[in-house]
Amino acid sequence: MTWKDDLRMLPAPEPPEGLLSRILASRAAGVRVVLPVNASASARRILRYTAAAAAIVGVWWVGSKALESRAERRGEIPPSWVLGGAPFVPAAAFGQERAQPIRSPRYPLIAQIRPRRVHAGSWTYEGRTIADGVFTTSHGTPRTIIIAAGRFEGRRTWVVTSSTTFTDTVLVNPATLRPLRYTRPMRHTQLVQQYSRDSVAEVLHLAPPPKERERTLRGTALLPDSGLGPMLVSWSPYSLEVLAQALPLDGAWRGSVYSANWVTATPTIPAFTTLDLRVTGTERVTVPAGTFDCWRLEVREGEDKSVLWVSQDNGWLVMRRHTSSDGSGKWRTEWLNETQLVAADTLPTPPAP
Amino acid sequence: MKATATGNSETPIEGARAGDPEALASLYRAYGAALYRLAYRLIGTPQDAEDVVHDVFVGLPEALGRYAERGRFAGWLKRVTARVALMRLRTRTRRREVMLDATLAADERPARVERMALDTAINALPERLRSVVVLKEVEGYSHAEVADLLEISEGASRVRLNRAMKRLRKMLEDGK
Repeated sequence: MTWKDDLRMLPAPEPPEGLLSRILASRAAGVRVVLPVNASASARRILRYTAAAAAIVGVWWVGSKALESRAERRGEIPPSWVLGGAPFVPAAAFGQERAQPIRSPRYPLIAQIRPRRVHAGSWTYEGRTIADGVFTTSHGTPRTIIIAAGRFEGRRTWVVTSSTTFTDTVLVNPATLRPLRYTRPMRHTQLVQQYSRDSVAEVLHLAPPPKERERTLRGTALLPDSGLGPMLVSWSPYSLEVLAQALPLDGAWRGSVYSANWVTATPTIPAFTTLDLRVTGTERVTVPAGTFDCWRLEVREGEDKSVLWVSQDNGWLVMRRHTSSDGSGKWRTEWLNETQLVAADTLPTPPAP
Repeated sequence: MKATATGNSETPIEGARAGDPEALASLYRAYGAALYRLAYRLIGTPQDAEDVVHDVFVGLPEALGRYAERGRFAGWLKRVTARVALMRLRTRTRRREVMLDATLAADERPARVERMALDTAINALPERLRSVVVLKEVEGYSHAEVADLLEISEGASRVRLNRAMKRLRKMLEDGK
């Protein structure tokens, strides 16, 4: 017999004689006791944990609402900037957030280009918006796209910039017309994108006052193409105004190209936009810069559709029209955005890289 | 007398559920002693063990209304008693009393003396370890059941039992 057996045979006193009488007397006197019959400890634990989790979420929600309203009152940056990076609100740049899907290209990706047709120079565009064909609003200061020869990391590049208040600049590989680096300084923000053959790394530095609110978001995205054909940079000077010069357009030409967006904004917009281009005819167009025989190039960007007129002679983008509508029924308004080439000044093309 | 939850044993359980004092007395006679010993081993004093059994049987008629009649009635009743005893333990500081069975003094055979030493050693354990030893080793509950009764994890139950056994072993060896 082991001492564990002894344990089971430990002596214990017998209940006292009068216990049953005491119990029955208590019952008869109306005493009642609530026994813990179905009180499963695990169920109680689950209930406690659930209550604790609900309390944490509640406190966080109340806190975030308080921050939001305080920020609104003071005109500060929204609390999403403040909470970005916190465990419950990971920053967009953390990359674990589900990214918006990239739309598949409608046509084969552009692979054949004529990069030597790209010229250094400047192209100035003027824009206006026409509502219902009647009301015309100018876009203000003309926008000038500048292409200049430069060097980056010891290699020859195109430096593409614009004359607007944002001195954003794209360094472009002159052989592939793929971006190498994009910098965009803004009032309280600085964006830098660094491109490699297969990926783009982005740093978005937000510096709204006061200084404690400074944040740096970092993001990386794999490029959606093979790394061989051209690629554009959205909202930058390096767009179709430059690429059109190198496209081997003809009456049946069509092709698709990706345009890189802000990687750190991927929860709200996809990292890359797909542009589907197709020649739909020829047209002679007169703009302030002169009269040009053009390819009529239809550009689809999702549901958006624009028409570009590209000079057959030198590939300059001469005019762009984009129509959209607003409202419904009899109050529907048709908007026409139109940009026209008002001046162009080219320089001798540098030797082939 | 044995009361069961199945078959034709309407008398004790169903009678007690209806508030019949005779049926309640019948259940007490069947299970009272075992429940008293369980309460005593958990709580350590005869007065508290008596109070626990008193409370269990006073509350039993109403509690039987929630008894699902699945499994053994004795097992269900023991679990309820253990919970009541543990609740009582948590609400007060246990009075340390090492009970010496009166019959032992007159009958001091070696085996009985060893059991007395074991009993003393168990009484000397801290409450958290003692409960696990009583429930697991004396009452034969599984670690899952012990964990449920004590509101701890199964792992904690195993750890506590291991520690309790080491202490008991040491105390018994030192006492030799």
